[in-house]
Amino acid sequence: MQYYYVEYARAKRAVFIALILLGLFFLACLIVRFSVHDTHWETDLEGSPTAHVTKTLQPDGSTRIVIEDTARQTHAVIIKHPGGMVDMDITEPRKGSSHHGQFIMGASSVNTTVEGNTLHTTIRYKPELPVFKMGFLFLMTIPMGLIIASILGGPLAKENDGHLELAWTKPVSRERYAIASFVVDSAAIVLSQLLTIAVTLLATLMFFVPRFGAENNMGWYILAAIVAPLAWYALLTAASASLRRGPGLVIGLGWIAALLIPALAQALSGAAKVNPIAAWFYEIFHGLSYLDPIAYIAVQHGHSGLLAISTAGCAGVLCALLVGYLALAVAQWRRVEA
Amino acid sequence: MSISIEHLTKRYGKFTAVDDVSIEIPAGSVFGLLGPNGAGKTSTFKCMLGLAQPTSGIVHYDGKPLTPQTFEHLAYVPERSALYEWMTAGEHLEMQKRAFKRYNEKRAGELMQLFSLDPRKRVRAMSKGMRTALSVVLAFAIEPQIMVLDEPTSGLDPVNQRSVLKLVIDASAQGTTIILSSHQIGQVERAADHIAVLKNARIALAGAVDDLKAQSKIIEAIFESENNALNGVTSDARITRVEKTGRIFRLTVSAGGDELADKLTSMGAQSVRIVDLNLEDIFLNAVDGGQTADVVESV
Repeated sequence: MQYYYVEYARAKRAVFIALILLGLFFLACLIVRFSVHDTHWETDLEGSPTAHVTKTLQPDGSTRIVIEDTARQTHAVIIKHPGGMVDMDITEPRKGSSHHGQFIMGASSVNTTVEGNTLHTTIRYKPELPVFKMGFLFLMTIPMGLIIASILGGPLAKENDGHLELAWTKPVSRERYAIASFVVDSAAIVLSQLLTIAVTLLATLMFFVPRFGAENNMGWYILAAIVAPLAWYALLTAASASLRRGPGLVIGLGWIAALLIPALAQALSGAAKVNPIAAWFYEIFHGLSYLDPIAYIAVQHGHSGLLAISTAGCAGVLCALLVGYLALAVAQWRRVEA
Repeated sequence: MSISIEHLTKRYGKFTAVDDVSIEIPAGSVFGLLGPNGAGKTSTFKCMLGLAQPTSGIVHYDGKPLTPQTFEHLAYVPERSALYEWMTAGEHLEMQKRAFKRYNEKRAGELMQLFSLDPRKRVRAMSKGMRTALSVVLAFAIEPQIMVLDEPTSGLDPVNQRSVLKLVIDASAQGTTIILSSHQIGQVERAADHIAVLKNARIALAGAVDDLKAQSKIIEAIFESENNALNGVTSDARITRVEKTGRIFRLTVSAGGDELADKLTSMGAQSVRIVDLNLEDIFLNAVDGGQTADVVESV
């Protein structure tokens, strides 16, 4: 029998929120994609009925295309190199919102300059597409995992908030009930991360077809990326398991503490070498950082020297924190009274 | 299933919510647990159901201690709604369906119709009465062998109160053991065959309703003047309670009704009659009364 229907319903709502966020992200990508021309430039220019196109094969094997369009006051020179690289120089009348700029869109780098009423656009298209490293792709999903973990965090406190008479009069032990809730929530968090990867890839396909690659520590990266939000969820659950009210305050304060503790440790690391009081505080915050799942995320991104730990170690500690916090949550919940 | 509560005590710090309560509830009976607010009824229920850890004492269901499997046969309607505000009535039914093997979908549908509940309606949009009704539906839909009903008519209109009472009586007739707490003593009187009255966390009175009714009588005496005093009569040990409403005295007596009625007539009472007690009288007598009768002024 299924005892976790309530948690399942909560998890469904959380995944729905994830889908809304991802939908907004996809929409933003769609707007960017259609507001900026990329490879359509050439077709657009050549396709004009007033365009005069001259194609010349160069001695180095490249094709030089000159497009003269007097009606549109446009002059373009396109060189298609044998390796697939394309250079385009377009001179055309300035449009209303045109301005200087340089950006990279997929495999193309675009440079625009404005001189009076004339707009020069230089486009260089390189066929070497960016490589998507799988580990990095998973690490990218951590923010979404943390959002969903925060939404679902503290499921036991949510039951304590006036629902124990329903939760505890089901034919199931408290331990099984709690563990079933954790499993359902964890599945929702991981699902939201996988959906993030899927939507990211879909959005990418609008610009280019990516190549995939693997880091040396790919497995550890993926494990750490999945476990980090779960460990955060477990921390929120343990911190709120014996509360008689909902976990909102714990989640809010938890975020502040989780960001502040490693930041303070980092900030005090210099002063700690010369000032004994700073050293004392540094030791406290540094020690606490090891219990903070969010502190490990910086390690995974390779930006922090705060925690002296490898990616594999990081994944291992996060797993230990996950199990430890959930065990602590269940132990506390067993003692709660309705 | 029978229920046996033995020397149950529950303390919260220095406060004693339940003090050495022992109750035997025979299988298939309707047991009324009565008491004023704060007497310990809900705490007793919570200890019975494992929602609170008793300080001492034990509860047995058919001679066995409470386990998670006991809840396969047990339903609880709490005094305060424990429903999920964000869920619909239909989702609550789905929750029960998935959790209980004995869940009867057809029965649930009938009960939803009985109380005119819309399965699409969210709990947050429901009145107190509708929430109580939904709690009752959830309890009865799993067709339990034991029901613990803490104020199951709270907030309900008289029609739905009557429906709940009928459900209780019908379930009892089919062998369900029911423990019922309500401030609507008339309803308990209609349904219950046994009662216990809690006062200050202890049992003040317990027994079969018929026996308790037979044990005492009420002598109702009407005097000419409001200022009439029952000189000497109230000190009689057989009188457990005296209630005065204007010119009317109501004396609860444990024995010697005829003799005391004659005495009141000789004291100038214009009219004297002996009537049977109802459960409300028994309850008030247990809660307010004592060995020495005090005159309680009623409005």
